[in-house]
Amino acid sequence: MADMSKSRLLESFGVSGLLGEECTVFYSSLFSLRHAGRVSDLMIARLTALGADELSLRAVLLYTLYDVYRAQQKGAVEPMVIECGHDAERVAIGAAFTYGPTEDVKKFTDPSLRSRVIQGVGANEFENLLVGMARHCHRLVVRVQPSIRRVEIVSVIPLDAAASAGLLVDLVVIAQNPKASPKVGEYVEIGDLDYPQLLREDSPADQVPAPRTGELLVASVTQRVGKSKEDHSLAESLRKIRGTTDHIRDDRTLVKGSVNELDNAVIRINAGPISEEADDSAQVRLLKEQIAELQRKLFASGKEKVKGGLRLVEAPAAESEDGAEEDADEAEAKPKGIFKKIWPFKRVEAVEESEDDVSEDDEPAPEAPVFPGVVPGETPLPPLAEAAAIPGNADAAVKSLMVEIQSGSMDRALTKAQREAPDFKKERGTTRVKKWVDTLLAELVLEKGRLLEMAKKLNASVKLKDVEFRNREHTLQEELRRRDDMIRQKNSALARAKEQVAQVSLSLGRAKSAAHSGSGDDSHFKVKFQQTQKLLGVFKEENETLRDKVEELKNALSSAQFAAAAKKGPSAQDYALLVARAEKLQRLAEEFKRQNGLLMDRVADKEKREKTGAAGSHEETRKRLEAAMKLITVTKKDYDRLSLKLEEQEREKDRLQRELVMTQAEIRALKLSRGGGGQQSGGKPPAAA
Amino acid sequence: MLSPVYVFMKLNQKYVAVKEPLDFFKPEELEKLRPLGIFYLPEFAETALPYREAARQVHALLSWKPKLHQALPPAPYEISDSVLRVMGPLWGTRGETGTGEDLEIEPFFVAVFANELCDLLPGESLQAARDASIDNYELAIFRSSWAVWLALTLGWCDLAFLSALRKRVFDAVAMGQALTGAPTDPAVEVDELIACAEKSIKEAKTRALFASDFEQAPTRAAQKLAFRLRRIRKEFSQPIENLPTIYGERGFADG
Repeated sequence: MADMSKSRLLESFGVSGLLGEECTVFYSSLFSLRHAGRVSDLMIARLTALGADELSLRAVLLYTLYDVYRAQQKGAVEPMVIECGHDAERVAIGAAFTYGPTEDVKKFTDPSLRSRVIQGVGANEFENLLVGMARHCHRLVVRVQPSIRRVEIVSVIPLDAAASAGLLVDLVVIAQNPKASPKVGEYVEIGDLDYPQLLREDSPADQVPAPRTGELLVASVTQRVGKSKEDHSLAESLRKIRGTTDHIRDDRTLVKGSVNELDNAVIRINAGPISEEADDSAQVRLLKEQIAELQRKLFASGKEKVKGGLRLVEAPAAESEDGAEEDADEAEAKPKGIFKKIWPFKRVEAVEESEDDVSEDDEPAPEAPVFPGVVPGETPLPPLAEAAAIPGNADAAVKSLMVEIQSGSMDRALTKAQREAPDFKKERGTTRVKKWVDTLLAELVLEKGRLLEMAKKLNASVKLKDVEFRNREHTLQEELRRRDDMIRQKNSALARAKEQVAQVSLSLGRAKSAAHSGSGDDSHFKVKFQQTQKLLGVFKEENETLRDKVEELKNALSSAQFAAAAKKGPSAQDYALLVARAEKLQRLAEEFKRQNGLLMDRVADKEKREKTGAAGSHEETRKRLEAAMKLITVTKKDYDRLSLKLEEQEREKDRLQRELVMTQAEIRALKLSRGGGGQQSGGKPPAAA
Repeated sequence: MLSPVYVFMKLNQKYVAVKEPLDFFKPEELEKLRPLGIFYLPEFAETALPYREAARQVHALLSWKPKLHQALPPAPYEISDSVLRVMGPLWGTRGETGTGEDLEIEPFFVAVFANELCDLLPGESLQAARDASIDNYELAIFRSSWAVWLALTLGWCDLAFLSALRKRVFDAVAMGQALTGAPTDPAVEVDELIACAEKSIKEAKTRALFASDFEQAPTRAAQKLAFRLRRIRKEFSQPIENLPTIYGERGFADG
């Protein structure tokens, strides 16, 4: 007997705490109750194999889902994870939810909840649901963690229903963090189960192994995503560039023109007006591919139709070969065989319908009918079918199909049935057989009429599609033509731009050569040069003036020296000082002369160069100008320096004159003190400076 | 971005990178680069396309709502199964598939996958995160994408939930906030899952993510992930050599 009170860890969330160590837990995550039924179906299918009571499991599972969904905080984006675990003795079903902040926590943590549930009297909706759940399980565990408003409900059902011993209700309030869930033998997401097998119909007639829906969904989605327009636009925008990233030239950029050549290295992302062109070309390509695909489908359907017709043609020949066998159970085989022969047309319809809808592609294709004497997969293609194999020749194929239907196996079958009808009459002669034959003939005639009608409809639809495709092709051709024109226009614009660039380059070259020959616009430099010359002239004049002044000073000094010497002027010390100053002034004058000479030389050199400078380059002119500017700067500095010196000399001259006057005054005073000694000497008084 | 983004400088005849992988363009940046006309991606971008393609397939699976007269909508377990079939081959295993070798995947490709699958993260969040810290930004991208990947692996196949989860994790990591509250609450599996993502990706430079990370983890979410990944290893994974990598000659990262 299973001990329902046994648990590994009660203070942990999840069903694992209530099951043994080797338990297996199946789980699924729901975001709505939309598929709760299918999820519970699969879980129940898996758990009932263990021997649990299916009704109890279903009831508890649905109660749990319903309760959790109702109590879950509204607007919470959180999956509703339902867990169903089992060990050797019991099954545990649990789910958790977060209640809203406005909910009263006492609703979940009230200790009397336990007794009320056991008594079967709920105080609120939540408890009522627990009561309902308790009716179908043997242990109910309610875990509450008020700190995060989390509640979990776990129901435990024994695998051996007869071994129950009353209801057990646990209310576990977890004040702090709960303990980690104990380890389990295995966690299985129910999508990993073999759900086609588990959900297989019980009927013995429907035991064909079904494919997994997951596989079909992936195949369908791959097809859809792979054919999306976005992919085509991406493929369109691929561009291939060879070489390294260094020094890649524009002319090495290779723009691919085909989707098949997408072994690209670089992808172009639209960043401007180019995007519109890329989109358009992608759209054209997409339309082209759609047309090609439709043509393929049309061809395939035409081929299928032709194959159907072939089977009808081939069937009588096979019958003649296996006539002995077929005659043996002719009475049963004939109606069956006829329906098989008719089947391919129905199948074609089914295929056509399924092709229109991707979702129906997921349906398993019906098995191909078996015809006597025709080996599946080895049906030879007659010339008729080969003719239909040319894309766009579907019209011819359909016509041939009609001809074949009219003159093919159906007629032969009718003929044969009419031929064999008297035999039946002879052999059996009963009314039942007569009726059967009459019915058969009527059915055949009706079937023929139906087939003809179908073929006509098919023909009309194929023609319609053909016209549609032609219209589309025409539109696309127009579009292509338009695109070609655009490309041509762009090419011519590019050529024009290149010409303009060439012209600009040419004019630039001309400008450069003009600059080199000096006949260009170097008037600016000339003006500067003239200004420099003027400045030089001014400096020359100033130098001349300075030289004159220096000469004058020298003369004045000499005369002063003479006068002093003649009149026994200043002392020997003063005289030496004056001599030194005179020598200094002389050196300065010589320096001025030298500078002046240098400047004169440079001016002469420039003038000479200017005269012969027709061949001087623009660069030389600039250098000369720079040299002249430097010279001007130097000269200006010299000029400033000389001006300062001149001022100094002027000041010295004044001082000397003052000294001279004083000396003369002293001499005069001495003369006067000597009493006319001066007159005896016959000297003249010194002239005032 | 799937890869570094280059522009071609005509005067210098050189390609110059203007964006790194995982980075994004602001409108003003695009306007500034508009005169250059064309962006170039290296060959590597093509190798990342299978992950983007897979994300599109998963997106199509999760958002497929057939009309009532066409087909019955797929059940959650069917979607979960098909999602695993799409995601499984994106894992690589060293050695032969189906053996006990560990599964691994590079976080960059997980980010490519999640970016294609989920709603785009708000531009303000992205910009704020990038301006605050590039490392945190990349970590947030990787961790949020990994959380989405793990959620899908667990069978939580709901686009709204996945997008919300990604944004929640991204914002928290980018702003340096705690993801699940300390300590992690074992009562809520979403928190457990986020904790798993946090544990797997400790830094932005994490080179690869391994299935074995979940084998010994005590939480329910980790245990469930471990069992689900065993199925991938057994049925769907590919040799790691067949899968793209951001490292080496064809990648953009050193190593």
